[in-house]
Amino acid sequence: MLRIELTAPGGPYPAGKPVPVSVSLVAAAELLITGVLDGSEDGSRYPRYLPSVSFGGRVVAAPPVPEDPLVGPLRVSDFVRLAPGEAFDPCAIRTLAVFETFAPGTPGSYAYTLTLDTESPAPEQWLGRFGQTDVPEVLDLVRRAPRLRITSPPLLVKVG
Amino acid sequence: MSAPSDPTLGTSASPSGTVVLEHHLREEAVQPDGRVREQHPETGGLRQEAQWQLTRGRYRSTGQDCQLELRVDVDGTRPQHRVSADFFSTSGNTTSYFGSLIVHLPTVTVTAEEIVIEGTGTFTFTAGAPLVRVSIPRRTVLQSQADATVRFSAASGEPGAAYTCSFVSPYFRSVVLEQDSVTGTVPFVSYDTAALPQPPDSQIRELTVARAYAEAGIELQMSGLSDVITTESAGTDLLWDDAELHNAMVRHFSAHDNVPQWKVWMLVASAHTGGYRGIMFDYGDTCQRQGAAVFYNAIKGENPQALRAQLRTYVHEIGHAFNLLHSWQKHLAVPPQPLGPNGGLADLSWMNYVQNYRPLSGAGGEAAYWAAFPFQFTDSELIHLRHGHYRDVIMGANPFGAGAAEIAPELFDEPVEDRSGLALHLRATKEAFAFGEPVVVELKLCTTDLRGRSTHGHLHPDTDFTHIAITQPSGRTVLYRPMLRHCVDETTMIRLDGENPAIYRSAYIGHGSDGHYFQQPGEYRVRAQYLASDGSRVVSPVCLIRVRYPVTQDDQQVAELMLGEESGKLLSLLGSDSPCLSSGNDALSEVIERYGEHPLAVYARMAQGINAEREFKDLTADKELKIRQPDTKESIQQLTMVADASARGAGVDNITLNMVMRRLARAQAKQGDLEQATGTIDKMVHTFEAKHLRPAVLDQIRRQAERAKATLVTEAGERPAPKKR
Repeated sequence: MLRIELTAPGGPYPAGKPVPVSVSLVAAAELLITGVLDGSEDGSRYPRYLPSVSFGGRVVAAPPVPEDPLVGPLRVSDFVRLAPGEAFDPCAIRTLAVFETFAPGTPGSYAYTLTLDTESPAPEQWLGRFGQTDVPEVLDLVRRAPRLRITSPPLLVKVG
Repeated sequence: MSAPSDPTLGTSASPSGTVVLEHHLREEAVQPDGRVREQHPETGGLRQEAQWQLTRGRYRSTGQDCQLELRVDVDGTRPQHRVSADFFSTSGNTTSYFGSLIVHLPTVTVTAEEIVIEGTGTFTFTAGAPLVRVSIPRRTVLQSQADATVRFSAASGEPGAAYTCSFVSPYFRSVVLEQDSVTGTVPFVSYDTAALPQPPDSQIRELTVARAYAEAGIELQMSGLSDVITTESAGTDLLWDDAELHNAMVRHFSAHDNVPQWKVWMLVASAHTGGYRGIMFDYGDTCQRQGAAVFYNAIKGENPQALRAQLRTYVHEIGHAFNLLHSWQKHLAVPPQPLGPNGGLADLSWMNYVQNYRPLSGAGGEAAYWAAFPFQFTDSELIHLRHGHYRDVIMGANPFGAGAAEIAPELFDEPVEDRSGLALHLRATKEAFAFGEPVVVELKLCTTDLRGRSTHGHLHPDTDFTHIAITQPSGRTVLYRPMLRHCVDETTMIRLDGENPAIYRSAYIGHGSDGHYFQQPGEYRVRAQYLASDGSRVVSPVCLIRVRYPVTQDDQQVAELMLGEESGKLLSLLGSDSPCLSSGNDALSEVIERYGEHPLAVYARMAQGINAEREFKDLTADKELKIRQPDTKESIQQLTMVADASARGAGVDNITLNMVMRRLARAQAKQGDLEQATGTIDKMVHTFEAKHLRPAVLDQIRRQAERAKATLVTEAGERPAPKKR
C-alpha cells in the first residue's frame, strides 16, 4: 500500500557533517496520510516517523526519550490524499531532527532507516494535546488513514 | 451586565514636566535577593560605584474601589522595556481581577530626581484614558525604595485616574512552588554551570530551579511543604498516567483549588506510561496549569550531564505551567505569537528541545544546543512571564495555549478576595446531555456565614442579577442572554441561614436570544455570577457540561429537529401558539409522533403540554384578540408522560419535574377532576421522597405542595362547574 524511500545524492560524504537524506512516501493505492507532525519523531503522537542511523550494526542516532506530550493540534489540512504511484515528501513541513542534525564522526558505512507507524490503539492518539479543533472531522480522516507499520530499506551512506 | 467602570478614568493632578537628561541604566547580574545593582556613569573622570536603586520590579496601590499592580521593567538584568499592570476591583466585600495593560517600548526619561516612563497602553478592555505615565523618584541604595505614581490620560490630554503604588518586590511575579516526590525518587537540587563547557557569555553559577526563574525576574517561593507519596497512587504498574497525576495533585497539593492562583505543584514521579521525561499534565480540565511532573527513571543520574538535563526538564515543565509553549509552537497560541528564528527551532531557550535545536547556521542537535545555551528564556518568553496579561500567565486561569473569548472572561473571574458570606453553585442536571437535548442547569445560592445573610432572591439568569458564561468546545466564550429578560424592580429579600440554607433555581440555558448555545458535541465550561444586594459579585466554580455525540440515526434526526431555531424558542418559552413559530411546533410534533419513544421526546411533550394547559392570546393582524382556550386533555396526556418518564429518571430534572407536575395538576383541576389533581400533587411529594433529596429540600417541597393544593381548591371553587360528559 505504501513504501518509504530514502535517498542521498552523491557521496561519499565528509565526516562531521549531516548527510542530506531525502524521504519519499510512494503510494501503491489511493490513501490518506500525514507528514511528520509535532511529536511524530519522538513517538509521542501518531503517526510515528521513527528515524534511525546505524554504524557497524549499532544504532548511533535515534530520537531520544520524548520530552513531554504537549504536542500541537492535528489539522484537516495536514492530511494528503495520495493517488496510486504518487510520491510525497513527509518532511516538507517538518524535518526529522535525527537526519538533519546527526553528523557521522567516523568514516565508514552508515545505514539510515525510517519507520512509519500508524497503528495507534485509538484514533485520538493522533490529536494534539492543546488547541485541537474540528475533532470530528479530523478523527474521521484519521480513521480513513491506513493502519500500517513499515520501514524503509536501509540507505547505505559512505562517509569519509 | 454589571461591571466595574473604566479604572483609567477619574480625576488626577496634571503631570509635571520633566527634562530629559540622560539614560544611565546598565545591565548587571541579579543578586540572590532578586535585586540588581546599577553602575553609575563616570563623573568628572572618576568611575563611581552605583548608588542609585533600580526601578525594576512590582508595585501595588491600595484603594477602596480599584487597585493596581504595576510592573516596571526598564532597567536591571535583561530589561524588556515594558511596563505592565493588572487592575483589581472591589465590589461589596469581594475583590476581583478586572483587566490588564501593557506598554511596549515606552519612552524613559531619567532626571536627577526621577525616572518617568511614558507610552500608550494596550488594554484587555476599552480604556478611556490609554496614555500611561509612570514616575518614580530616584533613590540611593541607602534609602527605602520609592513609590511609583501612575497617571492615565486620554489622547486629548485630559487627565484620567492616578494611582500611587508602593514598591512590593524586585520580582515581577511571585509564585509558590510546592514540590512532592514519590518514594524512591531523588529530587533535583542544583547544577554548577561550570561543570561542563558552556557559552563564554554565560556566567558561571550554581543554578537551582528557583534561581533559573529568579534570573527571569520571577520569584519561585518554595512552599516548605513536601510530601513523599507512596507508589500505590500510581496503580500497581508504578507508571503514572495523566489521570493519576491529576488525582495525586488534588490529593497532595495542599494549595490546590480550582481558582486562579500563583501556586504550582511539581511531582517528582517514577515514570510515565508514555515514557516522557516530564509533563505539565494539567491541560484538560477547567482550571489548568496547576501541576507538572518530572519522571525520575527517565532523567536520573548524578553526573553533570544528567544534572544539567534535569535542571532543564524541571524549568521546562514549570514553564508550561506559566503557559509557555514549546519554542516551535508559539504560533499555535491564542492569540498567535511570533516564532523565533528557524521556526522557533533556533531558540536558545528552556522551552526548546535540545535535540530539535537547529540554528540558522552551523550544526544543530543536542551538542550544539548545550554549547550555545546560556541557561535562560528568550526575550519574548521573558515578556510573557513578566508582563503577560494576568489570566494568560497565572495558574488556573486561561487554558494551556488558549485565551480567545468573545466576552471578557475576567468578568467572571473568581474574586481574589471574597467576604460576601455567599456561595454560588452551578450544576448540570445530567452527567452528560444528548446531542440536541435542552441543557438545563441548577443554580444554588447559599450562605457561608454561620450568622446568616440577607440578599435578594433573583437567582434565575432571566433577571439582571445573574449571568452565565459558556465557553464552547472551540474556546469561544459567550454570555447566555435570555430570550426575554425579566425586570425585577421589587426587592424580594431572602434570609439564608440554618433554617433556610439555600435557594435553588433551574434554568434552561440551551437557547437564548443568540440562538442555540450547545450546537455541537463536546465539553462546555459554564460558570455563573450573582450580583448580591450589597454589590458583592459572587461567582460559581466552573461547571463542566458534556454534550454527547449522536449514536443512532434517530439521535441525529431528533437532534436536528430539536436544534431548529424555532424549536429552541419554543423550549425557551415553554410552548407557544404563535404562527411565527409554526414550523417549530411542527418539528416538536414530529418528535412526538415519529420519535415518541426517543428520550428527547419528553422535552417536546413538555413544551406542548404546558402550552396546551394555558389559554393563548393571539392578537391578529386585524387587531382582533383571539383566545385559544386551554386544551386540558392534550396537556394531561403530554405532561403525564413527561412526569412518568422523569420519575423513572429518564426525563427532565427535579426542579423542572416539580413545575411539570404542578402544571399537570392544574390541567386536571381545570378539567374538573380535583381529586386527581390533588393526587398528582401528593404523587409529586412521593416522587421526590423516593429520590432521597435533602431533608431541607423535601420540607420545602411539602410546604409547596400544600400551598398548591390549597390554590387548586380555591381556583376550583371560583371556576364554573364543568359540563357533564
